[in-house]
Amino acid sequence: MAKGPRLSTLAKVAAPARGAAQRFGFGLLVAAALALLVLGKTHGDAVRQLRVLAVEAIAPVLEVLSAPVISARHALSEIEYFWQTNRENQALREQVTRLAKWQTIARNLVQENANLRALLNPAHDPAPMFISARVIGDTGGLFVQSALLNAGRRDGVEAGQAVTTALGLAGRVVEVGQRSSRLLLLTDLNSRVPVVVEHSRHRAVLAGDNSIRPRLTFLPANAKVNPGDRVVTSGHAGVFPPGLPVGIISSIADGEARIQPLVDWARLEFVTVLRYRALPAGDLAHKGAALGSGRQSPRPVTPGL
Amino acid sequence: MDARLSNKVADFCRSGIPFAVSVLLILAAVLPYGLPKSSLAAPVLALISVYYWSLFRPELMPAGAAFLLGLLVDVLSGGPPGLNALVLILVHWAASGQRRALAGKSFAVGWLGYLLIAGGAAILNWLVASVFHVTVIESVPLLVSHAIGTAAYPLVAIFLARLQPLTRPA
Repeated sequence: MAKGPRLSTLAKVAAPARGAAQRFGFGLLVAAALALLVLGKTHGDAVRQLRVLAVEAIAPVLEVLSAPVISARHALSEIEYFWQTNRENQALREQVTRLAKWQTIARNLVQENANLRALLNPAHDPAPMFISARVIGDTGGLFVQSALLNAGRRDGVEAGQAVTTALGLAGRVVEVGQRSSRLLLLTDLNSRVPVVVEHSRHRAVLAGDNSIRPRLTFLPANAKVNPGDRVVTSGHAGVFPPGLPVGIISSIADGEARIQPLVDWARLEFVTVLRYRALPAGDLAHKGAALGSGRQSPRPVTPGL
Repeated sequence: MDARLSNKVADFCRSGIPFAVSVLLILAAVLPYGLPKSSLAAPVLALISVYYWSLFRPELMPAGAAFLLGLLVDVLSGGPPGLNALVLILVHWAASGQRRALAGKSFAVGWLGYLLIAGGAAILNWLVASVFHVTVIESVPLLVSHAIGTAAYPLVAIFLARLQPLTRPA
């Protein structure tokens, strides 16, 4: 080893300085971390902006890395389907019979609704437009329930927009970068969604607490709710379009109702970001389309059932 | 001359292995696997990696590297900024400070050391997050993640031990 002595000379010179520098550096880093925590509390927005920039840099890497993971998931679910084809066929056949009845009812209701609307001439709900995004990071951790999406400002995503899946509301956008954004899940500690119990029409706020089942708060004391009742967004505060399915009341204990969200967290893969703002008036059909997992396109969807 | 230069480059790359592997572990942990609670994996893997390298190759996992890894976890999680950075620096400090007691002993001693230091990290995590959110944070997820981390430690440590020879200069 020819460079052995050279290294040791260097080490000799550096050794005394190094200990002090290390201790100093250590203290400095602890101070920096504490300062960040304090800044995060006092200047939350600025720190969030910095984080968005950092996520922007990481997002392309995550996007590339997540592609094989998603392919593997698809392959696995293909295999799963293959094994379950028979049983699933049976179940689907039964479902088709059941849904055929609903289709008849829905057709009548759509017609009736259209007629009544024509009579009443009510104010229209603004039509939501869709942005499809892929989940590229299942982030979060101990204290946060969030996910990273591969759509950002350039796709029209804005903070506050509702994010849904085919099954139901997943959460809302909290941070937006140029090409990526962060989705805060319904279950997060900071998530608050104005909802309404579908049958009794009682309003409440769905508050996440990091558990799998968020709870209904601000429910009127005399509200009659039962396990199994569906809960949908109320549209109050104008952030979320009204009528998006959210969950089902799973338990009521000590006057506290908890919700089982409809969204399948394990299959959170593609999501729909709803651009819901004071857009030109559309008809009810727009909203119906929003409940599905529409890919994009602001075009009106006629209820052609 | 050329050979010396390429040697230097190779050594530089080797010394970067612990940090690079940690970054890859963290990024791999946040990919959308569709598994429940997989989002707990990133902080746990970062913790194991920082602990391991601080114990066995502390010169290749300086406090600054631990800080940056913590920042990466914080940026990805969207949680209190600086929380994991603080925790990982202190884990680095604790692990590199207890080398005489923990390194070069049996595997079980290293594991026990992880159990204790990661336990301290979990308590610190809980304290800081509770102060940050001004509420008493539920401690169950922390206990769960500590248990998962302790259970996963042998697997990750064996993987990192496989990589360790690569970090030695030629």
